[in-house]
Amino acid sequence: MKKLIYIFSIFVIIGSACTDLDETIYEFIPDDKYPETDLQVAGLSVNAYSGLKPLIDDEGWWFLAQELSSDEFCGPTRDADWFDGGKWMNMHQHNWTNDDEGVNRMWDKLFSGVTISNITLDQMNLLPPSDEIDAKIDEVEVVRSFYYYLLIDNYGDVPYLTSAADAPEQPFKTAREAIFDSLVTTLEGNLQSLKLVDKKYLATRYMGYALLAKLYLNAEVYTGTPQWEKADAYIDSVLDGPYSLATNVTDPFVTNNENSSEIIFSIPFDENTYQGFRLHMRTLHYHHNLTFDMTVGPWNGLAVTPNHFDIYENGDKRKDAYFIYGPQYDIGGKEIIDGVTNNPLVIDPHLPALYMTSGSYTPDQYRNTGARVGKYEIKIGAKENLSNDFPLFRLTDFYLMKAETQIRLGGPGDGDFWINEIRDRAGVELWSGATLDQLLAERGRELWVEGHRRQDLIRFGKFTNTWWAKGDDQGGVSGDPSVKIFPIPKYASDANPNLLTDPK
Amino acid sequence: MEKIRLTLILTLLKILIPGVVLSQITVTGTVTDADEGTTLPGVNIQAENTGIGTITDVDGNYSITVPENAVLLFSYIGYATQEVEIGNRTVINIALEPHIELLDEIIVIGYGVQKKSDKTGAVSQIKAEDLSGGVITDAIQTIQGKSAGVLVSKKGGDPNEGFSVRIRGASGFDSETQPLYVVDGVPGVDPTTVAPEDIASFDILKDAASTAIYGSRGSNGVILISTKKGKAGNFQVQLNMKVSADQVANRLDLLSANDIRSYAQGLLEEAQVENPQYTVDSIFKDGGANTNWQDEIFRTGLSQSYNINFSGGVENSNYYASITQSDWMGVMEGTEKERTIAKINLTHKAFDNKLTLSGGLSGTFENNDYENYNGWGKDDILYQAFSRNPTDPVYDEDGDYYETTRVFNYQNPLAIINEVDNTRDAKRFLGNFRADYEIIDGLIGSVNLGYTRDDHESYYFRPNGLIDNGYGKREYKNETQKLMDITGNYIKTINDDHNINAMLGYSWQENMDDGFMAQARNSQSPYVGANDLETFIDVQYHDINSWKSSSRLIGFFGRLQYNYKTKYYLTGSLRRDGSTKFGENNRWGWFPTVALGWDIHKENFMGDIPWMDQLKLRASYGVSGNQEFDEYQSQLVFQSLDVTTDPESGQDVLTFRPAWNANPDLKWEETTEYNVGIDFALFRSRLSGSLEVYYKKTKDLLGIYSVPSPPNLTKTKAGNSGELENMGVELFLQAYVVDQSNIKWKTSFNISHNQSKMLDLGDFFNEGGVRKEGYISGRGMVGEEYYVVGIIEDEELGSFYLPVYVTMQDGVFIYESETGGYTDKLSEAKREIVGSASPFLEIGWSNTFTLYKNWTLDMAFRSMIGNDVYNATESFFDNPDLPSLNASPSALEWEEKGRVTGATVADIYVEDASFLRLDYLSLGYNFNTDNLNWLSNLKLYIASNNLFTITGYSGIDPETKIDGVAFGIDQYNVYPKTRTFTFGINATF
Repeated sequence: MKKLIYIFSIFVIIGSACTDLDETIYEFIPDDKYPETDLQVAGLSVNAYSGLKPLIDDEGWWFLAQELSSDEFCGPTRDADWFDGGKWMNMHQHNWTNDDEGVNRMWDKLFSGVTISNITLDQMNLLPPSDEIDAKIDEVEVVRSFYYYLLIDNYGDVPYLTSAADAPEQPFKTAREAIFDSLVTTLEGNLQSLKLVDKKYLATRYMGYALLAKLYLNAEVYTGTPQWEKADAYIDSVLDGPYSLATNVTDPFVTNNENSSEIIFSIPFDENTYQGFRLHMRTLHYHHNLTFDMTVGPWNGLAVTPNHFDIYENGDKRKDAYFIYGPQYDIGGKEIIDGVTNNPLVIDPHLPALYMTSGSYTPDQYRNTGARVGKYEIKIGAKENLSNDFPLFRLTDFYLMKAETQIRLGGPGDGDFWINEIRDRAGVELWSGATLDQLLAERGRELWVEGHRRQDLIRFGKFTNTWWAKGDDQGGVSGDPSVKIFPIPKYASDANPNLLTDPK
Repeated sequence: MEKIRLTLILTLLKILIPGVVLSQITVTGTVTDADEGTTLPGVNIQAENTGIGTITDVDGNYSITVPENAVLLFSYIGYATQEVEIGNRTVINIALEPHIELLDEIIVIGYGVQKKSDKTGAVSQIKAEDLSGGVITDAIQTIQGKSAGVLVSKKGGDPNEGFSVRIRGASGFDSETQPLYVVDGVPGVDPTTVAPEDIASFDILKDAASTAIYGSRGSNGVILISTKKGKAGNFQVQLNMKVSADQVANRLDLLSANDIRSYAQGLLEEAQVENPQYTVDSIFKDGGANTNWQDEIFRTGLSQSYNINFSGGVENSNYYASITQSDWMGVMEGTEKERTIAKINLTHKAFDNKLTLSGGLSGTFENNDYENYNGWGKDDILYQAFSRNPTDPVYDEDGDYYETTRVFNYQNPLAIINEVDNTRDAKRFLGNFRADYEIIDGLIGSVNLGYTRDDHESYYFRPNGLIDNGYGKREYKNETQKLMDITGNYIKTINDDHNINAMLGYSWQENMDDGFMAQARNSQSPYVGANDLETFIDVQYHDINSWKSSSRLIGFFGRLQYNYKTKYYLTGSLRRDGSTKFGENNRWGWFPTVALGWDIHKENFMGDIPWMDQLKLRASYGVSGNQEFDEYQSQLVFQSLDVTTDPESGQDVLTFRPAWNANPDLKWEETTEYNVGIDFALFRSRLSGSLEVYYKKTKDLLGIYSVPSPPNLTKTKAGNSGELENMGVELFLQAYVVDQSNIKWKTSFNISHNQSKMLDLGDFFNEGGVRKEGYISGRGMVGEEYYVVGIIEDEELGSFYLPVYVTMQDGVFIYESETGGYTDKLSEAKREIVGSASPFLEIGWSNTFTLYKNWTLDMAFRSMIGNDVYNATESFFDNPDLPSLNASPSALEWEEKGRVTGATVADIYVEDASFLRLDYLSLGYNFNTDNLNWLSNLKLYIASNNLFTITGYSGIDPETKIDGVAFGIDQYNVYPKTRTFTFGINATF
């Protein structure tokens, strides 16, 4: 009998080993074990910020879409380079379809940011509640609201989800106005949990004020009803914060700008460990690696539009600080000789056209024209990625926003004080009686390539105008109001047809 | 007295002059068929060890004059050879026994063997003597074109690239579609670790009824490789050596330096109209040389291969041991492969032959030297060489590599070839051990254990100053696999008529992968290179990485083979497979099969047709699976993403993120296949062959499918969805066309046709949706519009889905537009299916001639008909950056017509790449070694691989790797195919 049980148990043991198919996971953390340590718990909320990283370059396209679709920046076709199926030109001439790379990737990454925030919230809701955890939950909701602010700004009506685990399989859209209401409610409700500190990567209370200010400033675009007073109030809260204008126009954009007095909220890029800011690769000339002693060769592309370059006066300190043009020298001070024209490289700041081929333009024209972006410092020895933090909210912007609300609530001239702070620092003559149009131009000069232009043009009703290569005989359209939002990407609506129905 | 003297003289002469035939007798007789009694004409009769032979006449009579005591050999195809000592007879009548060797041959099937005449599934066997020779870079190359329905392809001729094998069309798209390789009973072994000289046979299981015994891995077919074993009492040593010269078979047609100069001159004259002060220097920088860059990067490669093996045995044991050392020098500078394979097989019987122990050990040591050529970056040799300006010299006046910055990514390819070190060392071991024990009469229990271990070590070094400040990397990868099979096999015949072969088994297999990698930048010592990574200054997060993963597979299986009087056959098998890769909702699967066979020629109503030796009808049905995709996709796991600064504390912190969208429903792909076949052998097997017709449907295709995002984190997830169908016909014929003593000609021919159809794209695709594949990228072509392959419902896999080029207006390409008119924008162009990369017909034809007993001539032809290739290379080089970059002559023609549009995708670049290739041709001489007892065979031969290719395709080579979903694209990444000439010696002692 004993023997039988013995043999039987052996069989059972062998039997269970025989059919054991439990997978051992080695190099990942299984779902039921994460977060494992206190450090990981404390770091949970950081995951929500990681969604900002891809937004500046072509992985997430947000920054490129805001600038290239505007009148101040473009990606010209330089003969065999940069045509790329027309995607850069389409963005500038407002010819995008629902299958353009920019449209697809911006949706993808902005919603990744939302979903990772929601996953983080779901995980934090499972932890034992405490004041700390509750504050962090509020903080992550604010970060998520930032992604949603960018989503409604760019796509209009989108699905509004507040949890990852409970999300419907194929969500419906929610109307832009309703999302706007949810966002301001959430933000206003969570402000007290946010810390009153000057930490530029954190969703502080000042960042909350700033986000609310931006939302209310654009309320007319988002909801149809302007809310200038509320915008004004929140702008004041920001201006009361621990920030001050920098002395030099270049200070907020240097490589080590993590302590700039002007920056309210930024993305902490690092050339090695947190990569995603490589505007310099896209804008600098092929030979600029000699100027900056770079280990990699830039791609010679994006440049300022000629009409925008011309709005800077000659004494404006920003002109030479923001733009790279004229004769170019290498790190030893010698003239750079261009590899194709065999002449000294002199960059003509005015682009002849948006579409240049060797049939109609000389190599000098298609290779060496268009003033490039010098605004963000390119350090000597720069690699393919920059370490400069990218400012999402900068104090100067709020000075100009204050001027705007004052003019709108009052009349021309009511914003002069704040505009002149900016103009004074830039070394140009001060204004009196500045109008909204003048303010818009000053915003263009000051905030060039910071990701605000598209939103500004839409708010001022000028996004559908014609300019330079947009709407003239070089091809392009003007006037179609539907371009004020991007379409729902085809891949998203193919996977979820509910996105094509009316918002619920 | 006279007689004695004569005999003495004769004896003396015989002693003094050995071998001289002094006394001869004439023997006559008649040869008949032992079964029928009919006379046999044309029977070969030879006197052993003499040159004397004859054949029987039309009445079966013969007459031969031979020395006394000669031994006569009577041989005839389809009959057992007989050896007869004549003694002092003068009339010898022989009755030859019919012996259909072919049908008694043993083929290897899953977990067992079977007589060819008993087979019920679609199995083809290729034996060692039928394999191709010459320059063989991987063993699978030896069966290229030899088996119907088995498409062995390789893009280009890189010795470091492998072959892709596709059996009966693709059964999947995102999953791996290579067949399962089983070497000496161990499934999952890399077939490149077997030396061609060690292979005894390839047995290819094609239909689901044969492959389903491997359950969830059988969908794509199974190739069983058996290595040689020793024979008792036959000790032999073999030496095989060959040396080859390899040349580039075909180069790309590009412009020369002078063509570029006259083009520049033309531009100058045009520009001088408005700017008369311009000189040539204003528009073009002339490098001053006449370089043919293809000549600079290609060379004549030298390959060599040496194999020595010895085998033998006694009654109870036998052994086989071999060492093969091969070296292939690629025709592109900087590419080379060296491989050494050592193998030993042992078998031993004990306990009255009841216990058989067999085992083998093999070690493969490989060293590869790589060059990149798959893209258009600075280190992609082919692109740089094709596009580089021919007026640029290789070296400048100081002897350094001539570098200039004509355009983005412009790089001297010789500098990359000579200065960049990219190598890999691989050590692979395979050990297998098997014990078979006859428990009771007819019942054999077996245990089979297998172990494989692959260690790969990679080295990459790029010095400082070449294209950046230098980069070095060392990587170690280890893959281990353990296997245990336990099977029980019962063979019994009941009442003489009922033959049963039943088998039950259990299989357990575990894979473990792990490795680590370290890399760094900013090299400070070109001499040390990556041997000491501490000579690099720049090391960052992400530069050190390690990984580990594992998977397990468990199967229970059983098979019953039954036949009644070897006339009616019924086979059924069932396997239950479980894998750790499947989601927890779908862990286990069932894989059943059933097959029927009917030996029609044995039926009474067929009468007794003397020329028909076999006519067998087979039908089978089976369900097999495929689980070749990444592990862990069914589970939600978190992976480390980036180091960032904690927004609050300012400290470094690691962010984590879900690695993918999990799918607990993930399961295997399932293929259901029906196969009907006819096997026949006629004229005493002088003509034999088979015809197969099959239909298979694969559902639950493994793929990366779109999921709504939001609410999912990423927009894709691994899942099962979709349906794909393949149907086709295969014909295989083998004939001994001529069988005389002086000329023998054996031929085998196979032809097959397969068509695939995507029945259902699966979830998350709208009606009429298209899945885009085959993206082309290059200068000015970076975007989502540049795809050439579309996977569309109701269309064939591998279809080219492209805009239709209408005409060129003012230099701009005009396409048909979706709205019915015309457009010049690629994004608005209407796309149509304009060709398919899958061939309509695959044909292989091999011949072996034996002439005058000593000469052998082998030739193997291979052809694919109806396959198209998208010539993306042409689309880049027909409109380039003249005069900065080189171009194809068609660029000048387009210029004449005023072309402005740059590189684009359109139907004009789809070309018919049907081809006929003489894969292998060899002429050998077998020395007569009958007089030497230390040498039993010596053969000298010359051979050529790819002697000629007939095709209409304009690019480098029409053959592409038929694998995956997007193939048939030639994008300046085709390593040229080679034409090789080999001289070889085979000797057996």
